[in-house]
Amino acid sequence: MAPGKKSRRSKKESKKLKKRRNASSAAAAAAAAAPADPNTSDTDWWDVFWRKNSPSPGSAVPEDEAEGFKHYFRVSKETFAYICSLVREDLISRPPSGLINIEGRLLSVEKQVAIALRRLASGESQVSVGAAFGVGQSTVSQVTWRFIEALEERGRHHLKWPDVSRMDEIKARFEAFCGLPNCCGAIDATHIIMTLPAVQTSDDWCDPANNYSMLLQGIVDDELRFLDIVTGLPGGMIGSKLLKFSGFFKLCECGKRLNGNTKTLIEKCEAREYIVGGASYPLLPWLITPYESDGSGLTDSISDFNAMHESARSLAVKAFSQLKGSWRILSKVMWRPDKQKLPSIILVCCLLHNIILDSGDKLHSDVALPGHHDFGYVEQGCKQVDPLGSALRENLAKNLQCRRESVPSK
Amino acid sequence: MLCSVPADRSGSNWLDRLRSTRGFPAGDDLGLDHFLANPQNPSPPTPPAPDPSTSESTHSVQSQIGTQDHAHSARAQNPGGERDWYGIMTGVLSELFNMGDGGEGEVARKSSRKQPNPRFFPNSRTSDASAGEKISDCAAAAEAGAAGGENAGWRTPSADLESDAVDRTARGADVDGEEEEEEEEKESGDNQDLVGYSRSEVTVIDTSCESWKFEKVLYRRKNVWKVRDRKGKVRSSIGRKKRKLGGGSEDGIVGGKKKLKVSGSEVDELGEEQNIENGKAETSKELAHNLDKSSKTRQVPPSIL
Repeated sequence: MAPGKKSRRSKKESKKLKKRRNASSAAAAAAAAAPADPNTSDTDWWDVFWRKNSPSPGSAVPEDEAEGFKHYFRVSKETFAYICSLVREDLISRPPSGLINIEGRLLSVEKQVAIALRRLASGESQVSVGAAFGVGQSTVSQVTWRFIEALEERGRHHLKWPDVSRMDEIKARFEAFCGLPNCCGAIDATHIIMTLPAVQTSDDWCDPANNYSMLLQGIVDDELRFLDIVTGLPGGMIGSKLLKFSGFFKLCECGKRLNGNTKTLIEKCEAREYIVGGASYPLLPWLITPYESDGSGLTDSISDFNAMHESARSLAVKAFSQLKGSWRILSKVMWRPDKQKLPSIILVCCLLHNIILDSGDKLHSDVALPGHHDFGYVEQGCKQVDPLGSALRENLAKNLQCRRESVPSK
Repeated sequence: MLCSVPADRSGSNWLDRLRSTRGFPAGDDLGLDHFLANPQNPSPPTPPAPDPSTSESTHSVQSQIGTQDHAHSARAQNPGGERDWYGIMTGVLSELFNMGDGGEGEVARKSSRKQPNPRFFPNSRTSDASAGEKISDCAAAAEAGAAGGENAGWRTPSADLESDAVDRTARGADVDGEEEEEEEEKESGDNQDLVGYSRSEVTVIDTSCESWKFEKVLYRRKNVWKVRDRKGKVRSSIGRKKRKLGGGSEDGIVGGKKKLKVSGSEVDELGEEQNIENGKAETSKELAHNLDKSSKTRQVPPSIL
């Protein structure tokens, strides 16, 4: 008996050795091939994925393959290739640290990017994302984090404050869109909801809706592109406080941001550069909030101004809805995330959002969240009013009224 | 050996000597029938003292258990001899289970090797001691105790003094930790008004700043929030890249973070160690994770990204 067992075991061992040798030789071959031609794109993964996840009758997945690709990864194949090119250097697997498929082959950069994008886009669990690609949960976790780290560094140029010429374009489009001259952007904030283990629960992270959350503040342009973000601060903080802790606030206060050319309004008033924000923000010389209704009714000019202001501000709301809809990991309740890593995840989602816009991809209409991005949160009005901000707001309202009056005469 | 062999028996064989030490008659009438039939058992000698070596001790226990069978039979025959056998039994049991009261004739029983009042044994070098490090040191001390045998076992007076000294050191470490934190607050400015504030460490990403990512400490009391920098905790993605590519100057930062992760006084630091990340920095996280696990404060969740 014993010798028989021994021989069986030795056979098994030799088989294992063979397998290992095959795997390592395959890995070595793949590694040897990868640096030789870094632009080689591996499309096998997509064929396998599409076959496995092809649309069934009644499913939301589009029949068309290109649209199906967009459905799963939010980006077109061209944009996908661009993202791969951004992170390729960081994601190329090199044995022995290379991530290996179930078949024993190294994961291609394309497949790694696809796994990470799918995880961020769907917000599904690592296990289900892994099952869709034929990899394990731990691989999904590692690949996603590697991708986030890589894009966080390589994709920085997609999220930056515009230079003067670009800002002029943005201002012109804002004025054309909502009649607000010299407006540079719209600000808003959202909660990224999560659960925390009991030992980490703290009032700091508990927001007014009794969720544990992390805040994301963003300033967007007229094309819903994020120009500036701050994240990582706890949900217990209110929006105006978050603004005050942001670098953007400090830069504006010391005149290093929103310090471009002023614009002369109709009655020879000057309007400096500013952004628009909701009633939860303070009225500042560079941040214009809507007029508050005191119950007695607003004058026509003020109502008009508020409507125009709202149309500009709603761009930020729309941008957040699109962000959270495209990258559903942000809209689902995250289960016990690492609070040190969560800001990176949020940032990368914002970068991807901007990359889509910069590439000219058109998102499906059903991608954005149907409701408000921060559903369940009540906006708390901020009473802080700066006289300079108040004066600018009045001038803008007057300017709007004059323009309204002049239009019919023309 | 088991015990000293009487001089008058030095000529007998080993079996006789064994029998005599265990209280059995030596000689030719060694059959069980004879033993059972003969009510006059010689008074058993005092049970042997526990042996210094484990193997010998085991041997003696086995031999005594062997004796037990005979004793049971003898008791059936002669209830008068019960008391004698009771002595043997008690000796065996007390040796096996370390009962407080040994057998009648037990002499100088060796003490248990277990520490009666286990105490923390934190390493004195943990001046910035955290809960996590204390636990790890405690675990290490426990291991050392287990491996170190007698020296780490009973609390002799000197050991008591030592451990008291260690306890004092640990208390000192705590005090040091508090002082360190106070110093940190002093460094960051007005620490006087931070008494009674809750403290949480956060990683903030702000694209308006040159380095997008940095560590901050938040202090909060009701609606009052204060943000302080965490000194030397700037995390830039470029820095992480360097680290990933093989160390360099950023290792210091990583080390600092590692230390903070384990040594930070907040328990929530320990609760975040389940994510999978490449690199050495995770080693400490895993340690903290394991510690957390061992302290059973909560169920450990799988990694989330």
